[in-house]
Amino acid sequence: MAMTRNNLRLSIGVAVAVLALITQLSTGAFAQELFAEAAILAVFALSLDLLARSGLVSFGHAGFLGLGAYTFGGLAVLQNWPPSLAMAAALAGGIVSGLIIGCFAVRTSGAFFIMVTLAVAEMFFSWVFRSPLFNGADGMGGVPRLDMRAMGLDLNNPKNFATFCILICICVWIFAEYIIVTPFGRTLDAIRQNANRVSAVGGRVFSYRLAAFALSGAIGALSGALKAQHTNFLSPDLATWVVSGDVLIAVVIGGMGTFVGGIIGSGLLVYLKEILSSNFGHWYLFLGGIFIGVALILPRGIVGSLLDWLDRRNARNNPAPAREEEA
Amino acid sequence: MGFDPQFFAEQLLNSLQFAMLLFLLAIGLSVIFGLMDYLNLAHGTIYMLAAYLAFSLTQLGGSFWVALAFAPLAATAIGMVLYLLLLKRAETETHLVQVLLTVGVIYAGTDILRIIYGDLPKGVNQPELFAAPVNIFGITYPGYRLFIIGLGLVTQIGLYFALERTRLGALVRAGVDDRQTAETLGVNISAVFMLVFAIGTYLAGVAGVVAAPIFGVYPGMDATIIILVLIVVVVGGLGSLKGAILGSLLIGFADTFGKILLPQFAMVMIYLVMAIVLIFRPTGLLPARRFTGAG
Repeated sequence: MAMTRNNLRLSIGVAVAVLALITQLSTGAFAQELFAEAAILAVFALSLDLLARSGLVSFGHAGFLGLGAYTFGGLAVLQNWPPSLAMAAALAGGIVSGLIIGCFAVRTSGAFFIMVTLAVAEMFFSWVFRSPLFNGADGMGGVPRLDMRAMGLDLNNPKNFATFCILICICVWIFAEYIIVTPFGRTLDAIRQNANRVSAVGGRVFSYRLAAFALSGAIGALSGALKAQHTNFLSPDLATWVVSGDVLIAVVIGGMGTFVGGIIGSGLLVYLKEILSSNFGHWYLFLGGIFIGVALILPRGIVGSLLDWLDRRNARNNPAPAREEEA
Repeated sequence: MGFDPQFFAEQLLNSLQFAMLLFLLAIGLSVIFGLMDYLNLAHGTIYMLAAYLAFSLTQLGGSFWVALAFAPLAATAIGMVLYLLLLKRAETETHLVQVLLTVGVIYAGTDILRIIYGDLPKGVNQPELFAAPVNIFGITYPGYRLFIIGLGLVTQIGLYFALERTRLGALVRAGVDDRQTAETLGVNISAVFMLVFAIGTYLAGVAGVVAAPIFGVYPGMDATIIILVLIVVVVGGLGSLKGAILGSLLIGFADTFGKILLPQFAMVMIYLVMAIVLIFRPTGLLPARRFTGAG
């Protein structure tokens, strides 16, 4: 039986997950920090990629990340909420803000959606940058991590925290893969392929996109809550467009709409930045060169190109008109 | 603080001056996007490159006017080479691939300029001719800023006539509105686009040179302005001269007055204007005909 796109995608995902867990457990403390960072970026990338399934690409996703981080940190530090409750509040904050912003944002699409999301995220940034509540531009330290000692896991240990982040990333990945095979996910696919046609047959494009935006917001806020725990610090920089750009680039490098691609792209981006910045003075030159190279050689991303290759191979081996299966 | 007409008039002129700078950058980006669906974020890098070239020319003993004459031309030449060697290859790709490619160009370009010029900000002197403050409407205002306003107005009028009254302008408008039909009728849109790209790049270079004496020349000056220029383009609407003019005026005013009225939330004003415009006009205020439908 020929391998399908979905099977290849899922196999790569399982391989990446197993590889990440095994390597992570056998590396030193510094590498574990990188693993945690990559896993958190990967959760953030999944949030962006899930929204992309509905045909919308956001350039303001850092807004959700920042919101999650500030909700978590604010409640845990200023209000002394238990971290688990603060984390739930961050998720809820992601959904609620997704619904409110989505009400006007998802009416636009394409480049306009990109700009509206950017605008909202930058407004959030401007607010926390000036807000005396969170120490404004100086940021706020002392953000605690989840207390899981009852389960025998001290998250202040870098190894445990990295494992925890990778496990969360795997859960979010499974959740995302589950969502896209539900009727809801199928409808999102249809909207991405042709929103006008979906509306013509009576599909409520707006409601579906709004739901996708809110869901994506919740996952984005989750990654923010993790980020605040990882660095124990809240900084307005979490919500700048540079962060939105980074995650977009991670997803494009890996292959948009493939989920596992964004995870691989996140790992690569964190690794490349670390390697380049510790070895070269002007490392952005190399990073830029790599972006240019990926855009020219693998415009569909690493996993996207692999899936295209699979399609071509299947078409060669089986000249009968192949069933079109979107991944 | 009571209402001070002097102060108010001065801020009006400041807004106008900033709007003209935004316009010089926005018109190229907007028409490049309108004609070829190309999201060229490296447009800002040309602006920065021209500013650095102007710095070099003045360091070599050239006057501001020498810099204004040659730096944008040199930047355009480099921009064209960049387009033919790199950017052109992503013409048929999605906007995201174009973003990845042009962000790569921004990163690499910024670091190359850093290697050559270092990290410290550089200055370019204002031209002697406009160094003195000018009395206008009973207020004293820096002459150089008036020069920028004048330069912007002249460019707008020139572009208006070029687009509305010449054959080439008609071809550009036809290409923006319906590229396929224009090509079917025998218009070589690729050739038209090359010219539009060159003019847009040249104007970005001019913006870089005239901005240098006011904002200074530093690595990253492209990123700070390109976001504002993108906002101008979406607020004004894609592919149209009037849209770029209106958008840059709105954002220029929102930026200047936002800083005065809401110093706590300087940037919020701009984004608020954009959000409001896009809620009521999801394709911007005055887009070219092709972009008036739902994005």
